[in-house]
Amino acid sequence: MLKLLGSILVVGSLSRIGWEMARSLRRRTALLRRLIGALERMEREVQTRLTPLPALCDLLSQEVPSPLNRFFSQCGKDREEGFAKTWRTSAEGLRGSLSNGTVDCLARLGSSLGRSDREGEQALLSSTVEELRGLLAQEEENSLRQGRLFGILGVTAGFFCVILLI
Amino acid sequence: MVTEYNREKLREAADYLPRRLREAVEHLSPVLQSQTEEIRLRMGKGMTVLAAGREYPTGSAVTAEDLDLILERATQASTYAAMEQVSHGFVSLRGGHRLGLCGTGIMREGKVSNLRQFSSMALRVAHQVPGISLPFLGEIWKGNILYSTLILAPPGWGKTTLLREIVRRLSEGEGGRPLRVGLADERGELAAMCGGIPQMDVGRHTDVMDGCPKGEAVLMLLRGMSPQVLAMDEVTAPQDLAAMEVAAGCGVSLLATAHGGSLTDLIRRPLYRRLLDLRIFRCAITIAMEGDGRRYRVHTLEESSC
Repeated sequence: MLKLLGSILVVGSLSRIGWEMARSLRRRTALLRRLIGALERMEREVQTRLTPLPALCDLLSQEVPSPLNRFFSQCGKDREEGFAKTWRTSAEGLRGSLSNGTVDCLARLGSSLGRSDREGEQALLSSTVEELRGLLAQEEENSLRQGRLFGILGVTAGFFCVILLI
Repeated sequence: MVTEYNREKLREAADYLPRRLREAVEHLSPVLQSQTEEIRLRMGKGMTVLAAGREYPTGSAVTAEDLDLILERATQASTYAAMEQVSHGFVSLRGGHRLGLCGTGIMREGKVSNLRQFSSMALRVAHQVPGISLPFLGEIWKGNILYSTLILAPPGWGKTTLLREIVRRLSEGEGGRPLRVGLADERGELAAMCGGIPQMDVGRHTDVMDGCPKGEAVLMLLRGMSPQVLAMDEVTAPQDLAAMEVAAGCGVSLLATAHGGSLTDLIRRPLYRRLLDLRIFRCAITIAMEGDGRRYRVHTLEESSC
């Protein structure tokens, strides 16, 4: 009886780890989707209302989940080192929550954001959104593939450990 | 109290500077702080402050990075939102201050579309000096009637400050019945609107059109706000003149400012000569610098047709 309970716990724990890893990939994908949505909103606001970036960042910080809300909130504050540097530094804080490719793309956006006329800004945001959409497609595929793999690995590892222990 | 107010306005303007330059302003003497009208920044040279017609050095050299940061702060890191103003060589700031820009023009279709490689900037500190119009207001405002008046002076001599104070007194009824004033504040310097609230005191009966070209603002005010007086700053374009003609034709008194050293100066320039030919203005106020202060003089122009 005890052995059975122990086996269930071992299989359950390792399966749980596998599922959590798969879930983390799905969360990352969902976060990237929200980031794309936020940048599209930014593009629309710039195009139609010429909303300045600090006000835009404040607005977006209230509409997106953590940790994106912290990112936008930090970018909306006036810093001695300037907007571009603040944006880049804040983007670095998203490593781990987003893929390296996504963070690098976001950081590059900060170097040019706010320096052009309306059409230039729209083109810049549009091309960044396109690039992120490409990354999203890759991550969705990875998430599906690797997520299944992690799930199966978790369960398999659990049974393997049970066999070893027994 | 005025001294402390001026120092506070200087601190507010200095917030747009990088920390190093801001500290240099904070270390100025209280007297100089209260008299500072502009902060002048020239790349590679020491920052200076302009007070009573003289420039005083502060000892801090200005770098290209300083100018970039100041512009970023002034435009809220959003060139696209301030493009119209930047292409005209200035940016209006919160608190009524103004940042003048000097750099290399980028031309598009024969017009300046943007500026780059900034070489110098002038941060003009907004001042409100209640009571400056006291001595002569009775000459242009009798009972319920304001004579259409043009304020004339070279740049930086206080036309905007004087116009704002006259608007305030008319609107508050200090010296007569309160008048409804429509303010065409194209550059946002007169009322310094923020969130729909004027940050400079322009009186309780004043309606402000902020950020619109003067011509269109005047028409909108006439159509919607039934003003008794229309006020606008810096008549510089034929469209401004056209707007004033329409307003005068509606029986509204006008208050405006124009660049010029004297009435003779006005006559020499075609746009302003036309202004005089239309006989819209009954009076002109000229400003002269005398010692540490300013002297205001009212001139009666030829009778207006309206």
